[in-house]
Amino acid sequence: MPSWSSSPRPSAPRHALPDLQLVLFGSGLALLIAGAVASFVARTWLLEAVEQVEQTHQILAIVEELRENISDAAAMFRLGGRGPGARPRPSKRRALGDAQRELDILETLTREDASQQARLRKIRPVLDRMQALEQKEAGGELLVELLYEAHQWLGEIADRERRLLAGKSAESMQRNARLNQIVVATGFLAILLLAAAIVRLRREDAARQQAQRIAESILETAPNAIVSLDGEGTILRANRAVEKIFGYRPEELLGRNVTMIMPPWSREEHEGQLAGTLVGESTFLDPGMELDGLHRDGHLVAIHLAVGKSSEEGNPRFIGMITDISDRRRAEEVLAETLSRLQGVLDGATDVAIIATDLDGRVTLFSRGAERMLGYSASEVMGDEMVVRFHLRTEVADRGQALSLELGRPVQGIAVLVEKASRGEPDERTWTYVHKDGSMIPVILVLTPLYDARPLLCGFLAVALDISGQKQAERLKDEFVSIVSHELRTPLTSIKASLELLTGGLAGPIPPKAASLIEIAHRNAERLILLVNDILDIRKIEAGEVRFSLGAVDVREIVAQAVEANLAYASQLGVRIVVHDAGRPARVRVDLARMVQVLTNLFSNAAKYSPEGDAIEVSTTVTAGHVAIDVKDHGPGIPEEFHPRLFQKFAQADGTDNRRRGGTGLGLAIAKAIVEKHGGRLTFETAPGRGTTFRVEIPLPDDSVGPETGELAEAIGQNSGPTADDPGSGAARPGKEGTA
Amino acid sequence: MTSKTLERVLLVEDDPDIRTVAGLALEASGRLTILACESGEEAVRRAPGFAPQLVLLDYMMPGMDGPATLSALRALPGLEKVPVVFMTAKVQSGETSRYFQLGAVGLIPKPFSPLALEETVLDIWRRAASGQVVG
Repeated sequence: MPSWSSSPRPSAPRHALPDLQLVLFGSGLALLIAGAVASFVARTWLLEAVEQVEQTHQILAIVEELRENISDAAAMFRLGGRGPGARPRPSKRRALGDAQRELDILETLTREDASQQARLRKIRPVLDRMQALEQKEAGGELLVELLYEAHQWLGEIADRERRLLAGKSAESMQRNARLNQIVVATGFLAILLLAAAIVRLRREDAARQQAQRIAESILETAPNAIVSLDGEGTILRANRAVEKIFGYRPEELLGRNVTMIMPPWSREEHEGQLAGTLVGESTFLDPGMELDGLHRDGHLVAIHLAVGKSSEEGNPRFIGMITDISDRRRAEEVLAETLSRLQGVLDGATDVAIIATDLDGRVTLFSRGAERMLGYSASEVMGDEMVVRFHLRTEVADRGQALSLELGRPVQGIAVLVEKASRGEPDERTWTYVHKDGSMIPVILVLTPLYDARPLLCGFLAVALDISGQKQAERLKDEFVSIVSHELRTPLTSIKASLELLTGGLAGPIPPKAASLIEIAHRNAERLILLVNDILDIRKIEAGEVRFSLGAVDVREIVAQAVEANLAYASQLGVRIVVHDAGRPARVRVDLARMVQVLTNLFSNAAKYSPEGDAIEVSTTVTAGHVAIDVKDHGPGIPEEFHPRLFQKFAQADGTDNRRRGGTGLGLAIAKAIVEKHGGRLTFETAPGRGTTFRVEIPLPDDSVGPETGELAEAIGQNSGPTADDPGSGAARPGKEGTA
Repeated sequence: MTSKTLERVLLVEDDPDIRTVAGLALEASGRLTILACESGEEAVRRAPGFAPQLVLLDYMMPGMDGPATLSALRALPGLEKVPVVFMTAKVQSGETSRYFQLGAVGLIPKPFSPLALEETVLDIWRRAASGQVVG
């Protein structure tokens, strides 16, 4: 059903003829007119020719009559008043008079022909002499002579006229034929041109109709409702989409006022706008507006209406383009609700500062928590303010320097903060914020990348948690641990020293039973001292208080020193240490004493869990970018449920292990902390009954792997000797028991 | 620096037990004479009469601490160049060099081994005599 329904259907508007048609039509018409003019001219020529022929005939007849009158007059002269024959003859005077008149007529008729005039002038004296003969002598030789002369001249005149007649007839026929050709040619050409114009017009018309059909099918298939209104708002046309939006079929709307698809409260306003537009006071809804429409079943439909004004045969017309925006409206409502909830979260989270920035670091969101934490109001910092301003400048500079070194390119400004987040990874790090009043606030800052709808990175979200309290607590804890450890160590020093003096015989000989009791006390005093040292040690490593003396060290040297330091302990347990040499030097940049401490912890651990008579295997492998030291034992393995806690402080698979096997439960935690501070990894592989392998991986600096033979040039620097660490905290404890 | 045999050692330690144990350990062989003081103040007061050849000084003490005591002792006539060895458990990172900058010639970490203490002290004495410091 063609339902760009309309009432009444208007005739298709005739467009002005395009230029080519105009030219074709014009030329055709011009040629037709030219043909008509030509045929008119031809007719005039023909009439003229006929007239001339008739005149010639008339002249010939008069010449004949003149000849007869002259002959009659001559006969009268000879017969005395009556001529021969039956025909009654006039008197010779009358015959001559007639001849004179006919001569006059001939002179008039041939006035434009000088030769005929000349001949006629020769005849007149003949007539005059014949007249004169009447009075003097009749007949005779003179009369015959005159008659002969007159007939001679008349004969010449007649001959000339006949020649003229023949010439005129030929000319007129020739002209007639030529004109006929012209008329036929122009007519033919005119018909051709007119036919071409008509063909073209028809083609145009077909194209126009096709375009109209396409336009109508577009209108019909358009998802938007399209209605055409007159100046009063009466619906003249409507496409099929109106049914989907308003529930009315298009034909049901025709002739009805458009207000029927509007809610009552907006009808009056609409009519006012329509009237205003008609008198040119407003442009009415341009470029469109969002409003409510009224569905047939009474519910409101959110629509967007765009209206264009035009005219049809002098009457104003409005074309309304209506889009159903219910879905968008609902989405907007959901969005508004979500935003409101989000705002609630932002406003409610007063313990954390939430700051969003664009890619350049300009603040685009500043939560109430941020206002509270930093002392600025959102209006002060939104838009132009850079987020870096809230950070401790030196801290950002230091981090920037470290990052620049690490990445091999300059990193500064906002990039220092978002280096990781801009790669799409969330980043959690402690920073120092600076309050508006200058005070410093330690925070844990979680930076998350923000994406737009495409999704492209469009900014960053920073959530900062004030950890002043936590820092304070940590400081108090550290102080407490430090003081307690120190206070423990002092009496332990006395106990251990006293026991050693006793066993050394300083107070005289000790009975054997007492000696074994003193030995127990001494051993436990040493364990306590180790424990206190380890507690202090790990606290300092974790707090970053340990300064590592980094130097280029051959990994084989680390292994050798660690083995030497642990041989005695291992042999006490009946365990050997077997080293599988890597065969070539590989220099790592480490604190030698601390790395020996790591291996010592791993060796003592392995020794404790190895069966008596067994061997700990130590091997070194150099891979791309790393050197790995494996410490393998053939002990019972680590139970799976213990894996997650293996590196935790005071973690031991069996609670009785501490007492049975010795150790503080801190060795692996310390080893892991030290390895990680060197940028390495401490991992393990284990299987029940098949032993455990701990692997220390240390990153290799560039050009640190030596050739298979020969020594590596000392390119990296020298091991800087004794460390600055607490000598009592076991940085390296050659000859002492491991602590795992 | 003197090259004489070490005989008189001034021991300054606030903890009475450690003071006793260290004193016993140092005197065990009978080669050394020990003057044990419980504070820096006492040490400064009694040092001139004792004329120590070497001072074993606890670093952390209430009142005058190790460095203050060292300064005060060095200010005494005849003790301007007396070698001082710090005994300490509380050595922080980067502080080792500070002890030497303060004028110490050696460092004995706590807990020490009492049976080896005398030998350690004598070793420091010998090294100090030859112009070395002992960490």
